[in-house]
Amino acid sequence: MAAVPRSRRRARWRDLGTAALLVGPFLALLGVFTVYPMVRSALYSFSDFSALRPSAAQWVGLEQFRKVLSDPTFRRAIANTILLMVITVPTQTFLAVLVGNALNARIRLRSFFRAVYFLPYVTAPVAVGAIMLSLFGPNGIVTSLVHTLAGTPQTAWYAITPQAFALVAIVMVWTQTGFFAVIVLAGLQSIPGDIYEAADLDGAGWWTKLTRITLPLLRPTVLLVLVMGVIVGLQAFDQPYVLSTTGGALPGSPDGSTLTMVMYVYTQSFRYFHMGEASAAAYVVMAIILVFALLQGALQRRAGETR
Amino acid sequence: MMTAAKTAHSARGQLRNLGAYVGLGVGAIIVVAPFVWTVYASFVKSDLDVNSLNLVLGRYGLTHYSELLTGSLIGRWWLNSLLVTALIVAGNLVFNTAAGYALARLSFPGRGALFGLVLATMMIPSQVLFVPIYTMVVSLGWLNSYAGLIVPFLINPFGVFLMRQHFIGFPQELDDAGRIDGLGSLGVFRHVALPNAGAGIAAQAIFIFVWNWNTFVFPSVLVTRPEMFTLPVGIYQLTHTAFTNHVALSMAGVVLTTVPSLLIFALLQRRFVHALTGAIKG
Repeated sequence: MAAVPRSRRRARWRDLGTAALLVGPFLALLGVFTVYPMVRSALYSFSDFSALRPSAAQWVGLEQFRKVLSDPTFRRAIANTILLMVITVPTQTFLAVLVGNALNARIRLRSFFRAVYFLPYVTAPVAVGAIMLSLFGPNGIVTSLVHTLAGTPQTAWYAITPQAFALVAIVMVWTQTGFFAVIVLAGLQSIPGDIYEAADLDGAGWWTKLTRITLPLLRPTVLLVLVMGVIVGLQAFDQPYVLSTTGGALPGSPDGSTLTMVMYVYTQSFRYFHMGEASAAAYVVMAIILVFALLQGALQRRAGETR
Repeated sequence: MMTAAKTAHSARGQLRNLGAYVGLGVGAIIVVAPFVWTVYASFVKSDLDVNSLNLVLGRYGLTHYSELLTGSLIGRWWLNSLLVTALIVAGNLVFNTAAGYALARLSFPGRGALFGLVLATMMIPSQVLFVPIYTMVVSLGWLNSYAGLIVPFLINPFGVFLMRQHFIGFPQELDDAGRIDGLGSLGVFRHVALPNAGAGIAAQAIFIFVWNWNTFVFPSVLVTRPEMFTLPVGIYQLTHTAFTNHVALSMAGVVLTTVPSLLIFALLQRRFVHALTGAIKG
C-alpha cells in the first residue's frame, strides 16, 4: 500500500490534462444544471419560496414537509400512484414476458413485429393521449364498444370515476409493454442455446423447458422489468396529465382520481407557484424512488449470488 | 425412428409457432388499430363520421390538413423541435462521449468519485429539477428562448454511462498501437477510439433523440409564446384547448406531428433495439 511503484503513480496522473479537457464541459454543465439545481431545490423545500414573491422567502425548517405530508391532496396522489403501480406493473410485466417469448420463437416477420410493438413507446405521450381521448371520448369507438359489451355508460371515460383511472392504467400498459418486451427478448437471447439442446436430448417438452430453464434463467430480466416499471410508475406524469386536462379540466380530474405524485409537484409549482411545497414534495417522491432503487440493487445482488 | 421423432417434434414446433403468430397478431392489432383509426379520422370531413366507415367518398378530404398548415403554427413547431432536438443531440454526443471515454480509458485522480457522481445523478428523477431549472431559466432571461429549451439539457449522465460501457470493451492493443504511432492520449481518443465508436454513438443518439423529441414537461413551462412551442407542446395546445371538440382536426394534427418521426424510427428501429439490448446487457 505504502510503496506504490513510481511508474504506476506517474500513470495515475499521466492523462490528467486530456481527462480535464474531455470531462470538463460535461462536469461544468452537470454542476450548473443538475447538482446546483438539486441544492437549490433542497433550499426551497426548507423555505416558503413562491415565484409570485421571490424576495420574501423565509427559512421555515421542516414546515413544508409537514404541510405536504399532511395535505390530503398529496396523500391522495400517493395513494393513486401506488394503486396505478400495483395495477400496471404486474400487468405489463406479464404481457411483456408473453410477447418477448413469442418474439423469441422462430418466426418470420420478427423484426416487423418488434418494430410494431415498439411504436407506442416512441410516439410522443401527448399524441398518444390525444388519440386515446378520442377513442375513449363520449362517442369514441372504444366507449361505444364497451358500452355495448359490458353495459358501461356511454360517457367519456376521462370524465367519470373509476373509468378515468382505468383509462390512465390502460394507456400506460399500452405504451410500455412493447418496450419491456424487447428487454425480455434481450434476456431470452442471452440464455445459451446449448442448455436447450441438452434438454432436447433428455426429451424435455416445451412446458418443461419453459418452467425449468427459461423462466428461472429469465429471473434477473423479469426483476429488471419489474423495477423499471415501478420507477417509471412512481414518476407517472405525461399520460395522466394529458388524459385528465382535456378541455381545460384540472390536472387529476375528475375529482383528483387521476392525480399522481409528480402531477402534484407540477401543479404546486406551475399552477399555484408554491415552490417550497413543490420542492418538499419532489424530495419525498425522490426518497420513495431511492428506496425502490436500493431494493433493486440488493435483490439483484442476491439474484447474482444464487445464480 | 429418428426421423419420425424429428417430424413429430417439428410439427409440435410449428404448432407452437402458430400460437406465437396468433398471439403476436392479436397484440399487433391492439397496438396498431389506434394509429390506423387516427389516420382514417384525419381524412374525415365531419366529426359526426369519424367513428363509422363511410362509403361516400365525398365525405373524405384534406380539409383539416390544409386548415392546420395555413391556420396554425404547426410548421413553426416542427422547425422548433428539429432545431432544439438537433442541438441537444449534438451537445450530448460531444460532451457525454468525451466524458465516457475519459472514465473508461484514462487514468486520473478522482475518476472513481466522478463515476460515482454519474451513477448518482442518473438516479435523480427529473421532477426534483422542475422548480430550480424553471427559476434559473427565468433569472437568466431565457424564458421563451431557444437557449432555455436547449442549454439545460446538453448533457445526460445516462449517455456518459452508456459510452463508458462501450469504450471499456475496446481492446488495449488499439490504444497501444496508437501510442506507438506517436499519438498522445487526446490523439488516441480522436484518431483511434472515436472512429471505432460508431455503434455506441448511434445508440446514444437514438436514446437522446427519442427522449427529447417527445419531451413535454419542461418545454410546457419554459415557453409560453405559441411561436416558441415544440411539437409536443403544440399538439397539447391543439388537442386540449384550441380544438378540444374537433376530433378529426385534432387527429390531423397528431398525424402531422407524429408520422414523420415514426417513419424515422421505423428506419432506425433495428439500431434502436440493438442499442437498448446493448445498454441492458452492459
